[in-house]
Amino acid sequence: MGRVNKANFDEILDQVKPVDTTQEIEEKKQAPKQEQIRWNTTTGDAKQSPEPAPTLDIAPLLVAVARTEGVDPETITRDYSAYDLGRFLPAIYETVGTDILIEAVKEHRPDLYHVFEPVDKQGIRGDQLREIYKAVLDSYHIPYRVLTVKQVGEEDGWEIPVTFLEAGFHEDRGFPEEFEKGLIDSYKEEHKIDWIRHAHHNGQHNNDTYFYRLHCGSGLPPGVMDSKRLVSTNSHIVDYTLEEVVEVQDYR
Amino acid sequence: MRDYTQFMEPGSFSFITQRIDDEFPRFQPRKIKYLCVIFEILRQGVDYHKSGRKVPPASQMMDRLSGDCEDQSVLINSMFEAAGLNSGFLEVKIPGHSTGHLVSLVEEPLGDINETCRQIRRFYLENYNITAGDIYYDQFNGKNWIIADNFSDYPGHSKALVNEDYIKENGSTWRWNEFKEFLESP
Repeated sequence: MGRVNKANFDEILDQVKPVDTTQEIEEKKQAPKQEQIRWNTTTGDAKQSPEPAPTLDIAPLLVAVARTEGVDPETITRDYSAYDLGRFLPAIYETVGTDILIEAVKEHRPDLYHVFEPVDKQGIRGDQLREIYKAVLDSYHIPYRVLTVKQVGEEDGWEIPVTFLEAGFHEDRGFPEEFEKGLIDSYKEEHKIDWIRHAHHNGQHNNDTYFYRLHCGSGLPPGVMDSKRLVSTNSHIVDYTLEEVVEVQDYR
Repeated sequence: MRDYTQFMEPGSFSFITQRIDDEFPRFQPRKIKYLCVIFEILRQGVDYHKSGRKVPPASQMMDRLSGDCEDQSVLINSMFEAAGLNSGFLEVKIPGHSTGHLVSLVEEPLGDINETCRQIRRFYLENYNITAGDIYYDQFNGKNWIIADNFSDYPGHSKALVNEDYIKENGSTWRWNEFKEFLESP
């Protein structure tokens, strides 16, 4: 019989204690607003990439994932494209799960294993998974940014910050059209049609780069901007459909 | 179905009823209180991520605070059982899809499903000022089981299961899109 982490239990129990909801909403409404740093998609009001997105070199990871998906790796290594990336990226970070990702790193990028090792041994949380994908994107020179967005309740005025990782792809090499075709094909059989519709055209364009939101570990396809389902797993407040970017934490 | 009960550890949560009573001293019936608070502990305190086929023992989940539907079902059912509630696992699928979903179920504890639903709604209204709507339950082994899905807002709420096509609605009735198997915890 294992020992339960009672500190964690007590902390959660404290969160779920009954509250005077009306009073709490009023307090939140009256609290001074956090200074907002807006990110503008057209003017690029964010740090700029120090250099253009380099040539993608993700073949080793794609091959590992392709094997698990029953796809002939040769078809990937010969001529992988933006379409291939769209087709297999969801599998990299969602379908095959963390175990396969770690195995792929062990095999193809042992120099990165030190990043994954604690996760391999102890399990993983969503924020840790985000750090892993940052390391992966870094290692393959895929630019990314970390956004904090404010989720806003449409009716009750509550606000909560949510952090996302977004991967950026240069607009040549078939982005976004071919990439999105790959995404759509990837999700055609696995998910509902409206998820596919969401994923389509949801890359955000900035300085010749399309950014796709990676919902690390949530099961949502890349590019989905409605994070309602993600939020609903962490909070009893689910009516958070509006959002605005309040901070760009990183951009490479 | 995989034997998920091997990962359950209700004995590790022997303190749970006392701690819930400490924080929610007034509400009665106690079993409704335990059911709802345990549901909220999982929903508010545990994140979701695709964790693969390995299922950690329930006690480890209270360290990790993150896992997939299998991991979370094992955890919540361990807590349900520790609080004297009967729990079960239900495997469901969407036809034609390779992936499935494991749903936790809890037996309605009052011997009267209508009264149980009424008390769950009362708990959420009195403690969280939330008006609980439809409560989905199903019958297995001659008992009524309430769906305790972590992607939902309260016990019995199944909006996420409907949205993802695990449940088909038809007017006032519903059915599982593809029911696989039910496993009652020992």
